[in-house]
Amino acid sequence: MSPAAIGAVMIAVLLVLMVLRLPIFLAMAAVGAVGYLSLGGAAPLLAYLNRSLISLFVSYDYSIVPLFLLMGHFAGRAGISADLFTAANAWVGHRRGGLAMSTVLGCGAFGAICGSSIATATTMSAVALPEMRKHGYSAALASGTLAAGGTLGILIPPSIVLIIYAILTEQSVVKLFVAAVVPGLLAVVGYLLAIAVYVRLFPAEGPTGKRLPLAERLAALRRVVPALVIFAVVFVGIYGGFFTPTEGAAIGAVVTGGYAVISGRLDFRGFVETSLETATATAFIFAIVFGADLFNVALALTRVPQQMAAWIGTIALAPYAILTVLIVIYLLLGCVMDSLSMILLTVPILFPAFMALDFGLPAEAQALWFGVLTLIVVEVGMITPPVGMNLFVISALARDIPYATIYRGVSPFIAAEIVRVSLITAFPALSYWLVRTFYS
Amino acid sequence: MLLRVFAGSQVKGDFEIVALASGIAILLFLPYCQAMHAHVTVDVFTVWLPRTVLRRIDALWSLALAVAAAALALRLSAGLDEAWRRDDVTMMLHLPLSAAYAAGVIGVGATSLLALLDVIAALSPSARQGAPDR
Repeated sequence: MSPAAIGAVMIAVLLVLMVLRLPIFLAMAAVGAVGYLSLGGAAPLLAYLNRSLISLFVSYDYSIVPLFLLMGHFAGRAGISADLFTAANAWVGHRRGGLAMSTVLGCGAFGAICGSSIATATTMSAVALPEMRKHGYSAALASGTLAAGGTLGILIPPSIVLIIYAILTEQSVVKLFVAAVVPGLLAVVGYLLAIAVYVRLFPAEGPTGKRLPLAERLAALRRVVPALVIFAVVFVGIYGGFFTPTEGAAIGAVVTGGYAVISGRLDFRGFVETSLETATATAFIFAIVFGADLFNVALALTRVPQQMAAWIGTIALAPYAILTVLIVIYLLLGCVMDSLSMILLTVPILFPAFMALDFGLPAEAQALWFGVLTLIVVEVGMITPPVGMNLFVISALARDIPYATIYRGVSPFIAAEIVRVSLITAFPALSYWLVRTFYS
Repeated sequence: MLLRVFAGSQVKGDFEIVALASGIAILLFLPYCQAMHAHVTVDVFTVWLPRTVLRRIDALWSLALAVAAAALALRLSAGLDEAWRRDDVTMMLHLPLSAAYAAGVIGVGATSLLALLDVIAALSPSARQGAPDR
């Protein structure tokens, strides 16, 4: 078999094993190991296995991941999600679909201190789902809003996916975070519009709430102060260059945990539980990092990535047409893969190919732009059926809502996301403009 | 790091401490993740299968995981041996990298044992009679 054929078989077997319930990290590692064995022989594989785990995990760059996870879990415990939701509801709750809009605003604000989509969806569901059901929101709108809202956890920096992208492509994490700010805000606006349109079409699904007097609104606004302080401390520090992103994440975890203790919402038991949640999430993320690395090393031996990049370079199409094809590939892959594996498997292949295209942009701007686009398309994958992590999270939390209902509920948000991807594809400056303003 | 901000001085080798400590922590988290059955798995395509079939598939994959983790733990112990002999240390503080390898052997080895326990639990008579296993 030619190396390229082995590469194709590897990809096919990987997808089959994943569908057959083999844990994703093990599917990637096993297929990678067999591929490596058939291409490189036993000795290099054994030498790789001796060291890879240690050289991957003992890394200053990667140490930011557990710290941001811990910070996000503390923030959930501290009731920050509930405070943000309540404050948003005081201001927009009287509108039609107001509770759903409050959920989106709450998720967006929570996303600014949490880098994980699943954590955002989980913590926000606990608060917003009972409220929406109590006030007569349809199961579709409530579950769809929460699944989509959860994605704001990674769309709005900090973002675990962007950190991984930064490590893989050797870009600055800080600049990527800054580049994702404007597109992240666009996502919030897009989701709000999606809700507004949806409740106009189906008014019974998202009733109006009570309008609160100004005094109560201002009182509710005070509850966002802790979140604002945490955000300011961490991100002024990181963006201002006072500390590295890893240090910022560590400080953020300590400050958020400290606030949770002071506010009386985190006792010793809660602390242990939060730590264990963080440990679990850290372990499965790094297991995937290891599996993807082994798979990628083997795939690199087949030269499939290089051939693919070379082939894309020879296509006689405008760069924008190729980019569109890449985005469609990502959107399709996102239907069956989780975001982390997708980033880890595709970026090493597609990033060099993309960078070879000429969009008339400086290399760094182009890399930031592609990072933001990748972030959006893998995140859309989290809410596209049949495999969407956020859909699973919501379905696990609200067992009475059937899958089909959740699928229907997220469809307006997927539409909003497709509009946003098109916008950012057409106007790259939406991503790198803020970076340029900040750092030049 | 706070020292660096407020006093303008650098803590020597702070990056190395963070990298090594977080690496060791991550390796030791692995068995806990296995015990919680928290590894990311795609299950929508197989939900329609009967529970007994699903249990058998999962037992098979647990066995695969146990074997793979055992093999990796063996390779890591070879790596530990190398690191120990060569006296691999970090650049600034000369922290021994063998500590991370040792954590790897423990973490991955324990993961293997836990997966093996799952296989045994799935094959035990009570599970075969269809008692809830989780």
